[in-house]
Amino acid sequence: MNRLTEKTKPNMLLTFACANMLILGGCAGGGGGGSDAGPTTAMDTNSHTVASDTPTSPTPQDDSPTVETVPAESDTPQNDAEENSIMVSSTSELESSTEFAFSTSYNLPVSIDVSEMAEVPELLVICKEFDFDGERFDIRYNDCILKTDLVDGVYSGSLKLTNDTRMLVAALWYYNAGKEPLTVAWSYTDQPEGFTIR
Amino acid sequence: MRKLMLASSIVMTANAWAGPLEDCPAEAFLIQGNPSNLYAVDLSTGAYRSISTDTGAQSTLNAIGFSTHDNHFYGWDKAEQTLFRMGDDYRVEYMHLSSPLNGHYYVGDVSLQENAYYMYRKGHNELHGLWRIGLDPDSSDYLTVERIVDGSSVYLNIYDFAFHPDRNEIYSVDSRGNLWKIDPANGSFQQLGNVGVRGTFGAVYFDRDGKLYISRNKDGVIFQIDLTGASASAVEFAQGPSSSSNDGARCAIAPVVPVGSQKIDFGDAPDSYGTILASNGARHNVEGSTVYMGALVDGEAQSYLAPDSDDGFGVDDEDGIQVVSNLTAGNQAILRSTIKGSGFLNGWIDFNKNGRFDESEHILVDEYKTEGQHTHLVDIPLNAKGGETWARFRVSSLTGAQPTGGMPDGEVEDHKLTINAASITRQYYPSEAGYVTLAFEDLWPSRGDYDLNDFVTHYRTGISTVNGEVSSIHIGGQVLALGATFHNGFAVQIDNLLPEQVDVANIAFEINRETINRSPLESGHTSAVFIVADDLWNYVTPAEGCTFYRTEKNCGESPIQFTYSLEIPLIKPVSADLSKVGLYKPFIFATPGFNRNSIFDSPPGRDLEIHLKNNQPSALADPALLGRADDRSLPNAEIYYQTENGLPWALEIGTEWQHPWEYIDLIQAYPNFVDYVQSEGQSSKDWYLPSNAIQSELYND
Repeated sequence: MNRLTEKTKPNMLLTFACANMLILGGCAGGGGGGSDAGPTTAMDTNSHTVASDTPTSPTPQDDSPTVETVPAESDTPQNDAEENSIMVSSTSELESSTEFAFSTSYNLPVSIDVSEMAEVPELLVICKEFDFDGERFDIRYNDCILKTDLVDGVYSGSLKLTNDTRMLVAALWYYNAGKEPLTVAWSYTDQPEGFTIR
Repeated sequence: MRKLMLASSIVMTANAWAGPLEDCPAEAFLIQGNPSNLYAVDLSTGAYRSISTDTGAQSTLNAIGFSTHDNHFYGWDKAEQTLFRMGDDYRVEYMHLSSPLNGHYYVGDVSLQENAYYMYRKGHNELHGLWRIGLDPDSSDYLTVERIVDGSSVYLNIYDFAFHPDRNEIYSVDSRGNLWKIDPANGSFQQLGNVGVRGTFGAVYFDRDGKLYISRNKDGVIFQIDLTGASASAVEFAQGPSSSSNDGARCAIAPVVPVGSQKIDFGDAPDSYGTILASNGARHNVEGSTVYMGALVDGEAQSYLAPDSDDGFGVDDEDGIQVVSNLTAGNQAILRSTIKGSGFLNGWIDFNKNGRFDESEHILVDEYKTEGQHTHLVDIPLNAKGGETWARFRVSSLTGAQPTGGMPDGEVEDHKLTINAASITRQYYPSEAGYVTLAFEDLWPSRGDYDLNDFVTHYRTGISTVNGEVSSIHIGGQVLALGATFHNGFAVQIDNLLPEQVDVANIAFEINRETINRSPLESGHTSAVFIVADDLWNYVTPAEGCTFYRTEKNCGESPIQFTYSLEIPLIKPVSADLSKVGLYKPFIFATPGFNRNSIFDSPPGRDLEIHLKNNQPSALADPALLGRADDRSLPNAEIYYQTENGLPWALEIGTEWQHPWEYIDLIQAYPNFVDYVQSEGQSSKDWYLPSNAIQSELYND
């Protein structure tokens, strides 16, 4: 959970706090960690191996009887995968259970409540395409996942994400051209249970 | 009225003659200043460059014209009081006329039909009037001066004129905007109307299409006049250089934009907005420009209208304007601009969806922006029409950009936007501009060869909700591959959406960015099914030497030929669990009338559907086909479309996937798929990423 307090309301402080979270992998909630992966893109930010008992995403997927999957482990060495595999020479030799849906997505709960801020943000935008230069997020707003006006600073919902989506940025805007948005980052490593901002 | 000055011996200057210009230049030429400098002007954008600052003239040059007979410029030197010509060294060479004329002329051009130079000056002086000088060295009238008509008989306040490319007629526009046609044979003149603009038009040109261009000295605005219309009115065409002293020349048989030029950035909105050059489309010279939007800008010889897009050619340079918020009628919206360099930003949104950018839709007016990102708060009118519309943004170092016309620097970006009638939440899977991929094997119910490229499409969905209820649904994508000869249709079923809840009349259905008038909603279902294509082969063609579309090695290359978009409004918002929407149920079906596997005695047509694993077929599929051949569907157990091994005929893949070459087994291209399947998705969850692929096994265009 990312907690917004009066102390973090100034933009610079909030951005700085999020920068710490991204760089240190442990800002305001979620498991700690030591990933030094920079948040350049969502696809190259894998940082650790998810244990087999890692909780799966908490919401069911789609309306088909599927087995829910968790985000990708792209840092799993290919030869490790091969070592654990039964050797097959063609796809047709593979076997799966009748239930396994071959899904490459998961659902992520989102819970935003910034109603207690002195100046309550009015617009929430969540995106997965962004750059980070150590201080500021450069978000590609034409390629976002969620855009919604905030009613009294509160939003609750769920995002459908592809397995390789490991990081997101939420931008909390004011309808004021002179006011920069507050930005909060999320990573699966730190908050696998959901994206929460308080 | 004719007065012939007797010919005298012809003496050239001591200078060696320069050579002719190599080609008929597309650029126009301007003479300015005292002593005169020569500039080349791109009429399409107004961009100009210096050609010569040392013409050798000691005073003002004027009345220049370009001869298509010998590819030289000709004009009048005020100080020398004689004709000069200028070749590829852009230095004056004086020509001794049959009879000296001790006057000054600032209006002139060379005829295309006869090799002769004409110049004009109004007034009663005996030196005034319309004069002809022969330029054909093989003719007896070479450099012979002849007055066609005196300057009081033809008393026009004109500052340059130009010969029509196809007819031996002279055209000009006077300071009051009156359009004149002059017959060089006898000096008779005719007013053809008023073009609607006033000023000193010191440079007048033609292009090869017979369009007249006039450049106004005080502000450099270049106007275009189409002489073929019932009323010839001046249209602001480009922003060129201003000057107190101006004269122009141009090769009138050259196109305005040279063939193959890549130095102009065009927009890509529909042409009703003024997009292509023939429609005076918005355009900017990008060569040497120091101001633009976003990180990228590219030039193109012509606008890429639908079904093409500027995004798909060169670089995708529509990266300078971002829409941060949803656009809702009656609310404010937030836009974000990224400016490189500094300049004046203008923007328009077609709120009333009339296909034009009206003056009242000018949302950003000459806003000076320095380098960096800027936030813009825009009022969306309460009466703005809902649905998709277009916006245009232009940046330039100059003020005054209009929705159309050329600018000498900067960039134009056209963006398709959606205006909502009410405040909404908009959500996309995987993102607003991103795609996942759907890959199908189409031999069902027989097992396929698992190259997973019989039908491959990038795919995206979106949903709009109002107070938690669904108000509209978006489906979009582009077809990447057809690696089979079977004829398949493509459709999407949305469970829990009743057909009668769909606002059919207002579905925005586009293929290749063009509106499709047929309703995509298929009848006969209890859950809505939308047909994207009845036969995918109707929309794509294999490249030269290929059997399939974008799957084979050693044959021609093909761009993506089929994009689709459906914006599906609902009659009224429908309660729905957002977690149950996202991918929906995309499927392919057999196109009626085409033979299929030998399993079928006759074309199965719409009875045959192929879905993602465990997705239930639609109501129009024949359940009797389930369980045949290699299919092990068990409807009673809600098991569908899988082999005895539990393998599917279709996959959803969470990225813009690169499919394997024809006949390349999936695990040859993506080895980690083995671990992904054998671990039931617990590991190698990103098997599909390029970093986990054997690149040589992937289709590469």
